[in-house]
Amino acid sequence: MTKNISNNAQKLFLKGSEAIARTVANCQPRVIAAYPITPQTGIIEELVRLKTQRQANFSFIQTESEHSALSVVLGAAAMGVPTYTATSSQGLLHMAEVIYNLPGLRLPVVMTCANRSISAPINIWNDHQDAMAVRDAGWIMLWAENIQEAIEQHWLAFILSQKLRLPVMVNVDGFRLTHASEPVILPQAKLIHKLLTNKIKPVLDINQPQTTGWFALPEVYHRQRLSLRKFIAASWPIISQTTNNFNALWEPIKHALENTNPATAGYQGTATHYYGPEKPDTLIIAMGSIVGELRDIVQQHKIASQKTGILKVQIYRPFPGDEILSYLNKASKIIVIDRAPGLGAQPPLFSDIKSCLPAGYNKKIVSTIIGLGGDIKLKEIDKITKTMNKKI
Amino acid sequence: MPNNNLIITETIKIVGLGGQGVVTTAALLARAAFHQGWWSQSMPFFGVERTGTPVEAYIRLAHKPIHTHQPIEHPNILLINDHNLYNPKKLGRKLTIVNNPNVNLYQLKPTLLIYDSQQVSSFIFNKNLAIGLLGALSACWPLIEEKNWLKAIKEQFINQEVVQKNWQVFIANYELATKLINKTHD
Repeated sequence: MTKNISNNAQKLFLKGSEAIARTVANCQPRVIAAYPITPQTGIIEELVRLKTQRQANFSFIQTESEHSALSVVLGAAAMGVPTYTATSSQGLLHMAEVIYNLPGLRLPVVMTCANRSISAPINIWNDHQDAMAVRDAGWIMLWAENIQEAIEQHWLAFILSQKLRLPVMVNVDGFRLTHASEPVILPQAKLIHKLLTNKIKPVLDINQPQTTGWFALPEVYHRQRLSLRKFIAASWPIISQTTNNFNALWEPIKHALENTNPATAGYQGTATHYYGPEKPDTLIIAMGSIVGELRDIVQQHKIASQKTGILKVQIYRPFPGDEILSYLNKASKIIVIDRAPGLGAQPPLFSDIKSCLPAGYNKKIVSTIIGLGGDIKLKEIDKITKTMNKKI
Repeated sequence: MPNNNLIITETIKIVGLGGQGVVTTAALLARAAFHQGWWSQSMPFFGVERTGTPVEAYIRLAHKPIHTHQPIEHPNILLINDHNLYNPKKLGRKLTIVNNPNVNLYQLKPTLLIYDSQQVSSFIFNKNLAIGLLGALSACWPLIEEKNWLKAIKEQFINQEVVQKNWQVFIANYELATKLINKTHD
């Protein structure tokens, strides 16, 4: 068993960006194109290092901009090869045009977004405003709490992108995860390819030149966009089956190497992970690495930990409304933490949750915005947990 | 000196100047702790740092998974690689080690060690490197076994010559700090 586990995965001490790069390399994309921007750069640097040391085999194209980088992987994906890119912040915004093209063309691409604030004013630290700017473009969006989860979500992203023929964005909090070093369990290529086929039907063939994504008159365009919307909304059975298979294969191997007990690790759903009592008084909903702080603070307040549940949203698009609603019904008080302000509207996660409430739902849901531009104040989280038992 | 156990999460901060290997030293410490069988984490504060300006990095060590990724404001152990950054009012809760090449006489109190930790790295690398402080830390806080320090240094630096030089700096500082501690006890 030990030998089998060590052949399947390795326990290593790695920096977040290195862990992501090695996982991507083990997924064996054929084409990677990127343009550097902090805090994403370390991922691409490590991938190129692996390539020069012949530990990975892919074509690397350093482009003159993020727009070109995503255009290159779009073209490669149309040729039927697995592709990867990574960016952050302004780089993601610069990609916006191509970001919308990829789901419309039904092309599978995996991209890491090392989440960082957007200008102005200029700030390089972490929040979720970059990814939120393109949340309704038709991508599958995953959000990692820690480096281990980032590893798993990149593997899952390659599988989902190929099964659904949609691009997948893995969101990893910039600096907080990309630049931290932690012990991780890294899946080996052999194990990864038990679930990942890397077989993608090409839409272009150089021997039979043709175009793709051609001009569409209003009626056709309308029908195609609605058809895409319907497909994404109806993709949950595929996502659910994929995550079930993934967890069945990976979780025993991971917990054996981590020496942790899966039973104490909360409840893993398809798109969410829940930590807390079966019937919480208060439910805090959040995404990304801030969930780590929430877990610690709730545990420190022993009384609160008996009454408080934390729901981590791991798959943000398509939005898992039904799954979240099942938790909303259990708790009497709900707090939603956003790391994007939602200028001129409600913050995005809060807004999404409110949009899926059934008629007559009368529990009050409170919205909190924390840590814009990297300024996560523990006092703010502490205040929330201390006041959680008071009437909202 | 800190207790030799990890009942709580141990928090460590290393401060120094850009170019002194503060971030690498923090990763090295967390890596050695990882080989000791603990959960560990190292993390730099990144921003507008550059060569010669203050840099800090944080380390957490625990017997259980570490969830937080917050910077550490008030560490249990504080390692200062440049004496200009030393503020007597801001010390580690359990231990502070300060490099000061200007002190002829070292200072040792139960929770404070000030000595010239850069003499060895200056001789070997021709620059002040923070790894010297890890040697002193291992003398004050012998919780991580020597084999795990060496394993971490080998993994971190890979190149055999660099590994050897770093190990020399580490061991020389360990011996120097051990002597100082024993001298005080005499």
